[in-house]
Amino acid sequence: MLEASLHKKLWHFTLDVQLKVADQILILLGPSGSGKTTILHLLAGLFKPDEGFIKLNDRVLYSSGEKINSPPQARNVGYLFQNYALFPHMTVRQNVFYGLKGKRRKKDGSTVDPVELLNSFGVGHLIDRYPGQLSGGEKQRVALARALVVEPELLLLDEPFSALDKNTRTGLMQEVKKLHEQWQIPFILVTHAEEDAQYLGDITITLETRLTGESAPKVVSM
Amino acid sequence: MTGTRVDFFRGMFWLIFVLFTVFMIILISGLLFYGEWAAFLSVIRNPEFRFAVVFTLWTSLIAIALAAVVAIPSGFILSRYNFPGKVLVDTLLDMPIVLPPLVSGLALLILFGPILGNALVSLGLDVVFSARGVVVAQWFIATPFAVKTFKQAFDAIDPRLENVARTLGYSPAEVFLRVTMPLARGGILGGLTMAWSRALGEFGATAMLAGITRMKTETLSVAIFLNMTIGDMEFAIATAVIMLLVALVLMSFFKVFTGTGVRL
Repeated sequence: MLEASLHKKLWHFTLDVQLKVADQILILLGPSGSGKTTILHLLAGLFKPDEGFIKLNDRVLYSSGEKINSPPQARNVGYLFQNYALFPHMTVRQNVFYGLKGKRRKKDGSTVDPVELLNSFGVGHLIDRYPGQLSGGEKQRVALARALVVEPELLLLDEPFSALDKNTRTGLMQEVKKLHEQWQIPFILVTHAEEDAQYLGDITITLETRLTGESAPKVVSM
Repeated sequence: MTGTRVDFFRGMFWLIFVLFTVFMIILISGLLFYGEWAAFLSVIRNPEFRFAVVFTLWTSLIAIALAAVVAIPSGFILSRYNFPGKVLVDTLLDMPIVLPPLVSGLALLILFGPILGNALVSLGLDVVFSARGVVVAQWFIATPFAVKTFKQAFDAIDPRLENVARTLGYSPAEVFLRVTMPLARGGILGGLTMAWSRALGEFGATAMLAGITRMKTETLSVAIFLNMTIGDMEFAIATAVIMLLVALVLMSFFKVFTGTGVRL
């Protein structure tokens, strides 16, 4: 369960969003410049809101009232970046193990087997390749495996299908839906395509571009 | 008709290009073959020459290490952050590149002489007319080159790679060491090579701040100058040949590092 109230002044408008997501897929739909990626950055801790709170399961990740702002590395939030952001100097294996190493130092316990995860995504045979040698769809699957191997409590996906051709796109959309059923955590997916929203979304928030003034508060509950 | 005119035009470009290349070849061969081998070998055994080689090596290596310490954070801040007056700061940090080295040296002499001199002497760290002055002068001249090349190396890295590493559980320091630095490696090594070649050949600022003292603040450049002034051409030419070879080697390294540099 994710609950958040985010208030952030951007250079061309003020973002004001209320979110409440159980283990569902929330779609943030809107044109570029409407603050979709900003919301993901705020949730991941890469930007700081001006006011509000972020609560993930029992943990308060951010609260302007209580002066809490936990850094990105402590939030346990998976983030799938647009264009995948795979480390170009590491192989697929190193990319996926990279996050695992970071997490294992912090707490022990059962972890997902990265090789098995890559196999389940159908990219196990590419484990010793570099990202430069992969197709768009393969990169996206590796990036998904890297984000999930640390067992995040929330997964953020920024335009995950935008750079893919139509066939890969449809296939991957089905996989994301299946993945969500398996993992049972909130997914927040940013897109500008309405068909993504219709196919995947349990809830959809539509953001508009506003040149001036305040955007209307968006309240969403389950 | 147009075809032949274009050919003539391109032909002139080729002519000038080829003439300039030939000029460079003659220039370098002149330096290499004017002196005599016997004299060259005797210079290499000369204690003054040996002093200059060793002295230049250790001063320039310290200067480059200090330049890296300053240039890595500075280049990173200039690459990743925007702040008011950034253009001014950027220009200010570039000053040593456009300033005549003698002017840089004079400014350093004023700072480390009248302004900071007494304090540094009481700490036993006097800079003026000492080997430390050589290091400071080389560091000052070399650092802006390092800052510039490091900034470009950091610019070429997608900040999303750093962000994704943060969400995977790494602190800013770990991200810098594990993601940023490995990706910037080619640019950093290229920048260090370029900066080192500046430090190795530094003369103007060194002369002003550290003085031209035989066997004390005598770098290879100072050695060439000192021996030219007393008419010892053989010594000057031998030293120049050594410096030319070092410069060629460093230039090749620079090309290799920046050529295979950042891949994304």
